[in-house]
Amino acid sequence: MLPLSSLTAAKAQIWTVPSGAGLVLRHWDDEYLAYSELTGQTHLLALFPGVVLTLLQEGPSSPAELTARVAEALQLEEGDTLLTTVEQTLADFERLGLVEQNPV
Amino acid sequence: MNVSDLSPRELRRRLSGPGLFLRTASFVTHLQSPIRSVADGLTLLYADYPLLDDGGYADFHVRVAPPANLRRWIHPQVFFFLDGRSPFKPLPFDQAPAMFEWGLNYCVSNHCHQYLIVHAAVVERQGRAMIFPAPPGSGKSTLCAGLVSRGWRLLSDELTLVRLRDGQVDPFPRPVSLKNESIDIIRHFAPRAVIGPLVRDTTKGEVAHLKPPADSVARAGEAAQPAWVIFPQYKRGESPQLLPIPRARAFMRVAENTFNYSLLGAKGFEALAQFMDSTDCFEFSYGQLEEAIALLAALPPSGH
Repeated sequence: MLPLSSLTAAKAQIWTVPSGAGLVLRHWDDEYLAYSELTGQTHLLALFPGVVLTLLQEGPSSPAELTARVAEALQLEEGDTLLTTVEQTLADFERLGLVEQNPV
Repeated sequence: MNVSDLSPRELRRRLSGPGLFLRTASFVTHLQSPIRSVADGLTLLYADYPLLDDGGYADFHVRVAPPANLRRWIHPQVFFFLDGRSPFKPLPFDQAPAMFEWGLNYCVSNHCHQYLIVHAAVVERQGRAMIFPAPPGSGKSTLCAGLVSRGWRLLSDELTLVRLRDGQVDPFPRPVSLKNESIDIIRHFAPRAVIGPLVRDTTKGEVAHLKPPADSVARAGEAAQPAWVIFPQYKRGESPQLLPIPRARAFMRVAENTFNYSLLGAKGFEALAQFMDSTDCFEFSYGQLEEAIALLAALPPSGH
Protein backbone atom coordinates (compact mmCIF):
# COMPACT_ATOMS: atom_id res chain seq x y z
CA MET A 1 0.00 0.00 0.00
CA LEU A 2 1.26 3.49 -0.82
CA PRO A 3 1.89 5.85 2.10
CA LEU A 4 -0.63 8.64 2.37
CA SER A 5 1.81 11.28 1.19
CA SER A 6 2.53 9.36 -2.03
CA LEU A 7 -1.14 8.87 -2.71
CA THR A 8 -1.79 12.57 -2.22
CA ALA A 9 1.12 13.41 -4.51
CA ALA A 10 -0.14 11.02 -7.20
CA LYS A 11 -3.57 12.60 -7.18
CA ALA A 12 -2.02 16.04 -7.52
CA GLN A 13 -0.60 15.15 -10.91
CA ILE A 14 -1.87 16.91 -13.99
CA TRP A 15 -2.45 14.63 -16.95
CA THR A 16 -2.20 15.81 -20.51
CA VAL A 17 -2.05 14.69 -24.10
CA PRO A 18 1.48 15.67 -25.15
CA SER A 19 1.46 18.49 -27.67
CA GLY A 20 3.62 16.49 -30.07
CA ALA A 21 1.58 13.30 -29.83
CA GLY A 22 -0.47 14.07 -32.91
CA LEU A 23 -3.45 12.34 -31.36
CA VAL A 24 -6.45 11.94 -33.65
CA LEU A 25 -9.74 10.55 -32.34
CA ARG A 26 -12.79 9.28 -34.19
CA HIS A 27 -15.85 7.56 -32.87
CA TRP A 28 -18.80 5.68 -34.27
CA ASP A 29 -21.61 4.58 -32.00
CA ASP A 30 -20.04 3.47 -28.71
CA GLU A 31 -16.52 2.77 -29.89
CA TYR A 32 -13.54 5.04 -30.44
CA LEU A 33 -10.38 4.94 -32.50
CA ALA A 34 -7.27 6.76 -31.34
CA TYR A 35 -4.34 7.32 -33.69
CA SER A 36 -1.05 8.59 -32.31
CA GLU A 37 1.33 10.14 -34.78
CA LEU A 38 4.05 9.83 -32.13
CA THR A 39 3.83 6.03 -31.90
CA GLY A 40 2.20 5.31 -35.27
CA GLN A 41 -0.27 3.08 -33.44
CA THR A 42 -4.05 2.92 -33.83
CA HIS A 43 -6.09 1.85 -30.80
CA LEU A 44 -9.66 0.60 -30.61
CA LEU A 45 -11.28 1.93 -27.44
CA ALA A 46 -14.53 1.19 -25.67
CA LEU A 47 -16.84 4.03 -24.73
CA PHE A 48 -15.40 4.77 -21.27
CA PRO A 49 -11.71 5.10 -22.21
CA GLY A 50 -12.77 6.86 -25.40
CA VAL A 51 -14.57 9.54 -23.42
CA VAL A 52 -11.68 9.88 -20.94
CA LEU A 53 -9.23 10.47 -23.77
CA THR A 54 -11.56 12.85 -25.60
CA LEU A 55 -12.01 14.97 -22.48
CA LEU A 56 -8.30 14.97 -21.74
CA GLN A 57 -7.56 16.05 -25.28
CA GLU A 58 -9.62 19.18 -24.60
CA GLY A 59 -7.06 20.27 -22.01
CA PRO A 60 -4.80 19.17 -19.12
CA SER A 61 -6.64 17.88 -16.11
CA SER A 62 -6.14 16.34 -12.69
CA PRO A 63 -7.66 12.91 -12.11
CA ALA A 64 -10.28 14.45 -9.83
CA GLU A 65 -11.28 17.10 -12.37
CA LEU A 66 -11.34 14.55 -15.13
CA THR A 67 -13.46 12.19 -13.04
CA ALA A 68 -16.04 14.92 -12.53
CA ARG A 69 -16.21 15.60 -16.26
CA VAL A 70 -16.44 11.91 -17.12
CA ALA A 71 -19.25 11.49 -14.60
CA GLU A 72 -21.13 14.34 -16.20
CA ALA A 73 -20.54 13.14 -19.75
CA LEU A 74 -21.57 9.55 -19.07
CA GLN A 75 -24.15 10.22 -16.37
CA LEU A 76 -22.19 8.23 -13.79
CA GLU A 77 -22.03 8.67 -10.06
CA GLU A 78 -18.90 10.47 -8.89
CA GLY A 79 -16.87 8.80 -6.19
CA ASP A 80 -13.72 6.90 -5.31
CA THR A 81 -14.63 3.95 -7.53
CA LEU A 82 -14.95 6.12 -10.59
CA LEU A 83 -11.78 8.03 -9.66
CA THR A 84 -9.86 4.77 -9.41
CA THR A 85 -11.17 3.63 -12.80
CA VAL A 86 -10.16 6.93 -14.39
CA GLU A 87 -6.68 6.67 -12.84
CA GLN A 88 -6.29 3.11 -14.13
CA THR A 89 -7.39 4.23 -17.57
CA LEU A 90 -4.86 7.07 -17.52
CA ALA A 91 -2.13 4.65 -16.46
CA ASP A 92 -3.04 2.38 -19.39
CA PHE A 93 -2.89 5.35 -21.77
CA GLU A 94 0.48 6.35 -20.35
CA ARG A 95 1.85 2.87 -21.10
CA LEU A 96 0.57 3.26 -24.67
CA GLY A 97 2.30 6.64 -25.01
CA LEU A 98 -0.98 8.49 -25.48
CA VAL A 99 -0.86 10.69 -22.36
CA GLU A 100 1.69 11.89 -19.82
CA GLN A 101 1.57 13.32 -16.35
CA ASN A 102 3.24 16.47 -15.14
CA PRO A 103 3.72 17.62 -11.57
CA VAL A 104 1.54 20.53 -10.48
CA MET B 1 -6.81 3.73 -79.72
CA ASN B 2 -7.60 0.55 -77.80
CA VAL B 3 -5.74 -2.75 -77.67
CA SER B 4 -8.46 -4.27 -79.87
CA ASP B 5 -7.53 -1.83 -82.65
CA LEU B 6 -4.25 -3.66 -83.14
CA SER B 7 -4.13 -6.95 -85.01
CA PRO B 8 -2.66 -9.79 -82.93
CA ARG B 9 0.37 -9.74 -85.18
CA GLU B 10 0.92 -5.99 -84.81
CA LEU B 11 0.43 -6.26 -81.05
CA ARG B 12 3.07 -8.99 -80.86
CA ARG B 13 5.43 -6.91 -83.00
CA ARG B 14 5.10 -3.88 -80.76
CA LEU B 15 5.34 -5.86 -77.56
CA SER B 16 8.53 -7.59 -78.62
CA GLY B 17 9.97 -4.30 -79.91
CA PRO B 18 9.31 -0.78 -78.60
CA GLY B 19 6.51 -1.90 -76.29
CA LEU B 20 2.98 -0.72 -75.60
CA PHE B 21 1.85 2.15 -73.40
CA LEU B 22 -1.16 0.54 -71.75
CA ARG B 23 -3.55 2.67 -69.68
CA THR B 24 -5.20 0.92 -66.74
CA ALA B 25 -7.34 3.56 -65.01
CA SER B 26 -4.99 6.34 -63.85
CA PHE B 27 -1.81 4.34 -64.42
CA VAL B 28 0.20 3.90 -67.61
CA THR B 29 2.40 0.86 -68.04
CA HIS B 30 5.08 0.67 -70.68
CA LEU B 31 5.08 -3.06 -71.37
CA GLN B 32 7.58 -5.04 -73.40
CA SER B 33 7.51 -8.80 -73.83
CA PRO B 34 8.64 -11.22 -76.51
CA ILE B 35 6.38 -13.92 -75.06
CA ARG B 36 3.48 -14.99 -77.23
CA SER B 37 1.20 -15.96 -74.32
CA VAL B 38 1.56 -12.45 -72.83
CA ALA B 39 0.51 -10.94 -76.16
CA ASP B 40 -2.38 -13.38 -76.47
CA GLY B 41 -3.50 -12.54 -72.94
CA LEU B 42 -3.54 -8.83 -73.79
CA THR B 43 -5.51 -9.48 -76.97
CA LEU B 44 -8.13 -11.46 -75.10
CA LEU B 45 -8.40 -9.76 -71.71
CA TYR B 46 -7.28 -6.18 -72.38
CA ALA B 47 -9.10 -5.62 -75.68
CA ASP B 48 -11.02 -2.61 -74.33
CA TYR B 49 -8.07 -0.85 -72.67
CA PRO B 50 -6.71 2.37 -74.16
CA LEU B 51 -3.24 2.58 -75.60
CA LEU B 52 -1.28 5.80 -75.46
CA ASP B 53 1.18 7.13 -77.99
CA ASP B 54 4.54 5.42 -78.01
CA GLY B 55 7.20 7.28 -76.12
CA GLY B 56 4.80 9.00 -73.77
CA TYR B 57 4.92 9.09 -70.00
CA ALA B 58 4.61 5.80 -68.11
CA ASP B 59 4.25 5.11 -64.39
CA PHE B 60 5.85 1.70 -64.75
CA HIS B 61 8.35 0.38 -67.26
CA VAL B 62 7.75 -3.37 -67.29
CA ARG B 63 9.31 -6.22 -69.20
CA VAL B 64 8.14 -9.83 -68.98
CA ALA B 65 10.82 -11.96 -70.56
CA PRO B 66 12.74 -15.23 -70.37
CA PRO B 67 16.28 -15.20 -68.97
CA ALA B 68 19.26 -14.93 -71.27
CA ASN B 69 20.89 -18.08 -69.90
CA LEU B 70 20.16 -21.79 -70.39
CA ARG B 71 16.89 -21.48 -68.45
CA ARG B 72 15.48 -20.05 -71.63
CA TRP B 73 15.58 -23.60 -72.99
CA ILE B 74 15.84 -26.06 -70.09
CA HIS B 75 12.90 -25.90 -67.66
CA PRO B 76 12.20 -22.49 -69.14
CA GLN B 77 11.44 -19.59 -66.87
CA VAL B 78 10.08 -16.09 -67.05
CA PHE B 79 11.16 -12.92 -65.24
CA PHE B 80 9.22 -9.78 -64.39
CA PHE B 81 11.33 -6.65 -64.67
CA LEU B 82 10.33 -3.25 -63.30
CA ASP B 83 12.59 -0.40 -64.39
CA GLY B 84 15.17 -3.03 -65.40
CA ARG B 85 15.17 -4.83 -62.04
CA SER B 86 13.47 -8.06 -61.12
CA PRO B 87 11.67 -7.83 -57.77
CA PHE B 88 10.60 -11.48 -57.82
CA LYS B 89 12.11 -14.88 -58.35
CA PRO B 90 11.41 -16.24 -61.83
CA LEU B 91 8.38 -18.44 -62.49
CA PRO B 92 7.87 -21.34 -64.89
CA PHE B 93 7.52 -19.98 -68.42
CA ASP B 94 3.89 -21.14 -68.73
CA GLN B 95 2.94 -18.68 -66.01
CA ALA B 96 4.06 -15.59 -67.94
CA PRO B 97 0.55 -14.05 -68.39
CA ALA B 98 -0.24 -14.53 -64.70
CA MET B 99 3.14 -13.07 -63.78
CA PHE B 100 2.27 -9.91 -65.69
CA GLU B 101 -0.94 -9.59 -63.66
CA TRP B 102 0.76 -10.21 -60.32
CA GLY B 103 3.64 -7.94 -61.28
CA LEU B 104 1.33 -5.07 -62.15
CA ASN B 105 -0.38 -5.51 -58.77
CA TYR B 106 3.06 -5.29 -57.19
CA CYS B 107 3.82 -2.07 -59.08
CA VAL B 108 0.72 -0.35 -57.76
CA SER B 109 0.64 -1.76 -54.23
CA ASN B 110 4.29 -0.91 -53.61
CA HIS B 111 4.59 2.45 -55.31
CA CYS B 112 1.28 4.32 -55.49
CA HIS B 113 1.17 5.84 -52.04
CA GLN B 114 -1.03 8.70 -53.21
CA TYR B 115 -3.69 6.14 -52.23
CA LEU B 116 -4.42 4.11 -49.15
CA ILE B 117 -4.33 0.68 -50.77
CA VAL B 118 -6.53 -2.04 -49.34
CA HIS B 119 -6.18 -5.70 -50.28
CA ALA B 120 -9.82 -5.94 -51.26
CA ALA B 121 -12.15 -6.50 -54.15
CA VAL B 122 -14.52 -3.62 -54.89
CA VAL B 123 -17.59 -3.35 -57.10
CA GLU B 124 -20.13 -0.58 -57.58
CA ARG B 125 -23.81 -0.10 -58.34
CA GLN B 126 -25.69 3.21 -58.51
CA GLY B 127 -22.62 5.07 -57.29
CA ARG B 128 -22.22 2.95 -54.14
CA ALA B 129 -19.21 0.73 -53.66
CA MET B 130 -19.20 -2.67 -51.97
CA ILE B 131 -15.78 -3.60 -50.65
CA PHE B 132 -14.54 -7.09 -49.76
CA PRO B 133 -11.33 -6.85 -47.70
CA ALA B 134 -9.99 -10.32 -47.17
CA PRO B 135 -6.93 -12.54 -47.42
CA PRO B 136 -6.59 -15.04 -50.27
CA GLY B 137 -8.93 -18.03 -50.07
CA SER B 138 -11.89 -16.19 -48.58
CA GLY B 139 -13.79 -16.08 -51.85
CA LYS B 140 -13.61 -12.34 -52.51
CA SER B 141 -12.66 -12.72 -56.16
CA THR B 142 -15.46 -15.24 -56.70
CA LEU B 143 -18.01 -12.86 -55.20
CA CYS B 144 -16.52 -10.01 -57.19
CA ALA B 145 -16.75 -11.99 -60.45
CA GLY B 146 -20.29 -13.08 -59.60
CA LEU B 147 -21.49 -9.54 -58.92
CA VAL B 148 -19.77 -8.19 -62.02
CA SER B 149 -21.46 -10.91 -64.06
CA ARG B 150 -24.80 -9.63 -62.72
CA GLY B 151 -24.25 -6.03 -63.79
CA TRP B 152 -22.18 -4.49 -61.00
CA ARG B 153 -19.28 -2.33 -62.14
CA LEU B 154 -15.81 -3.75 -61.52
CA LEU B 155 -13.47 -1.36 -59.74
CA SER B 156 -10.90 -4.00 -58.76
CA ASP B 157 -10.75 -7.60 -57.63
CA GLU B 158 -7.52 -7.12 -55.70
CA LEU B 159 -6.55 -3.51 -54.91
CA THR B 160 -9.02 -0.99 -53.51
CA LEU B 161 -7.55 2.48 -54.03
CA VAL B 162 -8.80 4.87 -51.34
CA ARG B 163 -8.23 8.55 -52.09
CA LEU B 164 -6.43 10.35 -49.29
CA ARG B 165 -8.35 13.59 -49.74
CA ASP B 166 -11.89 12.27 -49.34
CA GLY B 167 -11.91 8.50 -48.72
CA GLN B 168 -13.63 7.76 -52.04
CA VAL B 169 -12.54 4.79 -54.15
CA ASP B 170 -10.82 5.25 -57.50
CA PRO B 171 -11.26 2.33 -59.90
CA PHE B 172 -8.44 0.09 -61.05
CA PRO B 173 -10.34 -2.45 -63.18
CA ARG B 174 -8.25 -5.36 -64.37
CA PRO B 175 -8.89 -9.00 -65.24
CA VAL B 176 -10.36 -10.83 -62.23
CA SER B 177 -8.08 -13.55 -60.92
CA LEU B 178 -10.05 -16.78 -60.44
CA LYS B 179 -8.48 -19.70 -58.65
CA ASN B 180 -9.11 -23.44 -58.50
CA GLU B 181 -12.79 -24.37 -58.09
CA SER B 182 -13.94 -20.77 -58.49
CA ILE B 183 -12.98 -20.99 -62.19
CA ASP B 184 -15.66 -23.60 -62.89
CA ILE B 185 -18.11 -21.89 -60.52
CA ILE B 186 -17.92 -18.72 -62.62
CA ARG B 187 -18.03 -20.69 -65.90
CA HIS B 188 -21.36 -22.13 -64.78
CA PHE B 189 -22.62 -18.94 -63.14
CA ALA B 190 -21.84 -16.77 -66.16
CA PRO B 191 -21.54 -18.98 -69.28
CA ARG B 192 -20.93 -15.96 -71.53
CA ALA B 193 -18.03 -14.67 -69.45
CA VAL B 194 -14.69 -14.50 -71.25
CA ILE B 195 -12.07 -16.38 -69.25
CA GLY B 196 -8.43 -16.65 -70.27
CA PRO B 197 -6.38 -19.83 -70.46
CA LEU B 198 -5.82 -21.95 -67.38
CA VAL B 199 -2.42 -21.51 -65.75
CA ARG B 200 -1.51 -24.61 -63.75
CA ASP B 201 0.80 -25.31 -60.82
CA THR B 202 1.13 -21.74 -59.58
CA THR B 203 1.71 -21.04 -55.90
CA LYS B 204 -2.04 -20.33 -55.77
CA GLY B 205 -3.01 -23.50 -57.61
CA GLU B 206 -4.82 -23.23 -60.93
CA VAL B 207 -5.44 -19.66 -62.06
CA ALA B 208 -7.47 -18.14 -64.88
CA HIS B 209 -8.44 -14.52 -65.47
CA LEU B 210 -11.90 -13.16 -66.23
CA LYS B 211 -12.10 -10.37 -68.79
CA PRO B 212 -13.46 -7.18 -67.22
CA PRO B 213 -16.65 -5.75 -68.76
CA ALA B 214 -16.01 -3.04 -71.36
CA ASP B 215 -18.24 -0.66 -69.40
CA SER B 216 -16.06 -1.03 -66.30
CA VAL B 217 -12.95 -0.24 -68.34
CA ALA B 218 -14.61 2.75 -70.03
CA ARG B 219 -15.72 4.17 -66.65
CA ALA B 220 -12.32 3.79 -65.00
CA GLY B 221 -12.30 7.53 -64.29
CA GLU B 222 -15.46 7.45 -62.14
CA ALA B 223 -14.84 7.23 -58.41
CA ALA B 224 -17.34 5.55 -56.09
CA GLN B 225 -18.63 6.26 -52.60
CA PRO B 226 -17.95 3.43 -50.12
CA ALA B 227 -21.27 2.05 -48.89
CA TRP B 228 -20.75 -1.50 -47.64
CA VAL B 229 -17.72 -3.26 -46.18
CA ILE B 230 -18.14 -7.03 -46.35
CA PHE B 231 -15.73 -9.53 -44.78
CA PRO B 232 -16.44 -12.72 -46.73
CA GLN B 233 -15.80 -16.26 -45.73
CA TYR B 234 -16.59 -19.21 -47.95
CA LYS B 235 -18.18 -22.09 -46.00
CA ARG B 236 -19.06 -25.04 -48.16
CA GLY B 237 -22.73 -25.95 -48.08
CA GLU B 238 -23.83 -23.14 -45.78
CA SER B 239 -26.65 -20.68 -46.43
CA PRO B 240 -25.52 -17.08 -46.79
CA GLN B 241 -25.51 -15.05 -43.60
CA LEU B 242 -24.82 -11.38 -42.94
CA LEU B 243 -23.83 -10.29 -39.46
CA PRO B 244 -23.50 -6.54 -38.78
CA ILE B 245 -20.28 -5.45 -37.07
CA PRO B 246 -19.39 -2.07 -35.52
CA ARG B 247 -17.56 0.31 -37.80
CA ALA B 248 -14.63 0.92 -35.45
CA ARG B 249 -13.90 -2.81 -35.36
CA ALA B 250 -14.31 -3.00 -39.11
CA PHE B 251 -11.86 -0.09 -39.42
CA MET B 252 -9.20 -2.11 -37.59
CA ARG B 253 -9.78 -5.12 -39.82
CA VAL B 254 -9.63 -3.06 -42.99
CA ALA B 255 -6.41 -1.47 -41.73
CA GLU B 256 -4.94 -4.97 -41.27
CA ASN B 257 -5.67 -5.62 -44.95
CA THR B 258 -3.88 -2.54 -46.28
CA PHE B 259 -0.48 -2.36 -47.93
CA ASN B 260 0.54 1.09 -46.74
CA TYR B 261 -1.56 2.22 -43.75
CA SER B 262 1.47 2.44 -41.44
CA LEU B 263 3.52 4.19 -44.08
CA LEU B 264 0.90 6.91 -44.58
CA GLY B 265 0.56 7.72 -40.87
CA ALA B 266 -2.15 10.24 -39.94
CA LYS B 267 -3.11 10.69 -43.61
CA GLY B 268 -3.90 6.99 -43.82
CA PHE B 269 -5.95 7.13 -40.61
CA GLU B 270 -7.97 10.11 -41.83
CA ALA B 271 -8.53 8.58 -45.28
CA LEU B 272 -9.70 5.29 -43.82
CA ALA B 273 -11.92 7.11 -41.31
CA GLN B 274 -13.57 9.03 -44.17
CA PHE B 275 -13.86 5.79 -46.12
CA MET B 276 -15.62 4.10 -43.18
CA ASP B 277 -17.87 7.09 -42.41
CA SER B 278 -20.46 6.19 -45.02
CA THR B 279 -20.38 2.41 -44.70
CA ASP B 280 -22.36 -0.39 -43.13
CA CYS B 281 -20.13 -3.31 -42.20
CA PHE B 282 -20.84 -7.04 -42.13
CA GLU B 283 -19.35 -10.45 -41.63
CA PHE B 284 -20.56 -12.57 -44.51
CA SER B 285 -20.43 -16.34 -44.79
CA TYR B 286 -21.69 -18.15 -47.84
CA GLY B 287 -21.57 -21.52 -49.52
CA GLN B 288 -23.39 -20.98 -52.78
CA LEU B 289 -22.75 -18.12 -55.18
CA GLU B 290 -26.27 -17.52 -56.52
CA GLU B 291 -27.72 -17.18 -53.00
CA ALA B 292 -24.82 -15.01 -51.92
CA ILE B 293 -25.23 -12.60 -54.82
CA ALA B 294 -28.99 -12.34 -54.20
CA LEU B 295 -28.48 -11.46 -50.54
CA LEU B 296 -25.76 -8.88 -51.23
CA ALA B 297 -27.73 -7.27 -54.06
CA ALA B 298 -30.68 -6.82 -51.69
CA LEU B 299 -28.69 -4.87 -49.11
CA PRO B 300 -30.26 -1.43 -48.61
CA PRO B 301 -28.09 1.63 -49.13
CA SER B 302 -26.08 2.65 -46.11
CA GLY B 303 -28.03 4.93 -43.78
CA HIS B 304 -24.99 7.11 -43.03
